[in-house]
Amino acid sequence: MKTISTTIIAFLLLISINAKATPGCNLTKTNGGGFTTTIESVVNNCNSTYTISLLVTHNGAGGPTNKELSHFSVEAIPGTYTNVSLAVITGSMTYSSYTAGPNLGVDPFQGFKFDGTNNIGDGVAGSFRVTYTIIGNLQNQRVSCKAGTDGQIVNFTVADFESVRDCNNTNCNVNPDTDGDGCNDNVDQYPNDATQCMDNYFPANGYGTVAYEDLWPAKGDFDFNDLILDYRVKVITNANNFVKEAYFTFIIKAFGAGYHNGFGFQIGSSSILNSDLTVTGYELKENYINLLSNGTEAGQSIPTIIAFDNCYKQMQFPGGGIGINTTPGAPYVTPDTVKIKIAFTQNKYTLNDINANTFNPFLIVNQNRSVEVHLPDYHPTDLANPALFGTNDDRTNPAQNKYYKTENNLPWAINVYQVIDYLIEKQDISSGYLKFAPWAESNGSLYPDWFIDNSGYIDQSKIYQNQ
Amino acid sequence: MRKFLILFFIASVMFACTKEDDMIKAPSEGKAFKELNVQSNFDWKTTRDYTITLKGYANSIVKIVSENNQTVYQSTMIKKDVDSKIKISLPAYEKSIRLKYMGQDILLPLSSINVNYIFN
Repeated sequence: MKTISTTIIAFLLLISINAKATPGCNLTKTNGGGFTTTIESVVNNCNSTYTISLLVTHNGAGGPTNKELSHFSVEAIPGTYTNVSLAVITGSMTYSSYTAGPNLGVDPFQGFKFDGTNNIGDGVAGSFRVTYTIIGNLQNQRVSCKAGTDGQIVNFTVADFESVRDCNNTNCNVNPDTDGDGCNDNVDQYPNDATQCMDNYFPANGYGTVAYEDLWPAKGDFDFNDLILDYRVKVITNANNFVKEAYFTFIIKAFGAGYHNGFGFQIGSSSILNSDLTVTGYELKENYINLLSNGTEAGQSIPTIIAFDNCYKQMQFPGGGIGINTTPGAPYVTPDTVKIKIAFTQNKYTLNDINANTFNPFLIVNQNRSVEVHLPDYHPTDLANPALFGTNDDRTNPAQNKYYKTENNLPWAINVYQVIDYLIEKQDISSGYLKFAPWAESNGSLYPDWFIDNSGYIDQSKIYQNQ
Repeated sequence: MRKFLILFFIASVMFACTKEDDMIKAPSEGKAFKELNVQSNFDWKTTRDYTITLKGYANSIVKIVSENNQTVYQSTMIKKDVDSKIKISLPAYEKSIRLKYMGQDILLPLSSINVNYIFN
């Protein structure tokens, strides 16, 4: 009588578990030899136990690499498993014994095992379900479909079991998805906002630096301090990787220039419609930039944002030296921050579409909107004057996809993945960053970390010091 | 004479063990920027652009992390059994990345600009 009631309870439990399992939530791994193991359900019983259901399937393949199953075993910490059962689902698989372990002979782990299996594998398709209860916490568990001498082991991590549990909503609400956006609260950086899930940053670990020469198309002194900007991009995506908002933060640290330069940037490609963006935060104080009503620049096929139009209106010239914060002894001015917010039409553009990592920053020379200075091989905007290409020292050649480089392929701007200290006025960048020249002339094979303050890399006497 | 030979031997071993970088200045070092001759295909960026294609066995977030575990470069949601292409710029000096997914920690060499990985 006791056996019958136990069987009935086990049967009801099995039905209960399967009723809770959603097919899309299953998690399958390949053992090999034609066998796969699927976590069908993980139910938190809310009494410090979990009921787990594994489905083992053989695809019917035969031959020397698809041998017949000799035993099936599951790793489990001794004393933490109970109520183990096996049910044949399809085919005619049999087994001769069940071993509760904990030692399992040839298996490289402890746990439980169904031994003497027949009629599954080696050309015979079939499937069976193993159900068991784990006492305490979920644990990493290996599963072996041993056939011949091959253990055919897969690893299931705690996170794997949790994933199925959470997908099927069979937890005790210890890891809820409060806003129901498909991004559980433990990973959702905005757990109460269904339109947002994750932040992504570029650079990932802090700010980067862009540095310009502003005499283009003529060569300058190559101190790369005519405009020094630190930047960081934050992109907020939802649970489906669509971009909701992007924030571009620029810190104007210095400009060793007599010109009253501006600065802007492009994002993505012409496949991003201007009308899908709403831009705020720009600081335009002159009258030479024309904007659309959404804050992007008019006359551009690729979304273009002008962050500021006159650096001298961002930071007040203190008197003394050339520009601001590049001449030793001249008064220091606190850097200015411009923060641009771009809101996107929802559920339209992904991180890959926006590609904020490869945004196209440019300097506008002395409030002349047709003169732009870009990073090497970055394209001009639609408002740049192409008649300037190839004049003076510039050797831009659109047919060769060569932009903003000299005859010797030298640039007027550089972009560094981290914040770098910049040169004092009239000091060539190679004289301060000693590994810069070897990096460039070796085609990047030497010193890709030329900007890091390693021993012997930087001559601090050439670097501007905040006094 | 014997002492001299021993000292000579020790000195030879010491110099043989000195790193080449410390002994010889890189040929371009000290050259003015204007004098540099750079190949036309040189990529001036300090990052490299990669396309990483991932396929997972469950809907979950993948974190792309530096080899030394110090920096999370990108977090993205991948869908079960669907190829997810991730365009990412990484520091040029990175030779490998880590993929954190469902409790797994996979070290993946950046052997080309197109990198593929299937989780199992």
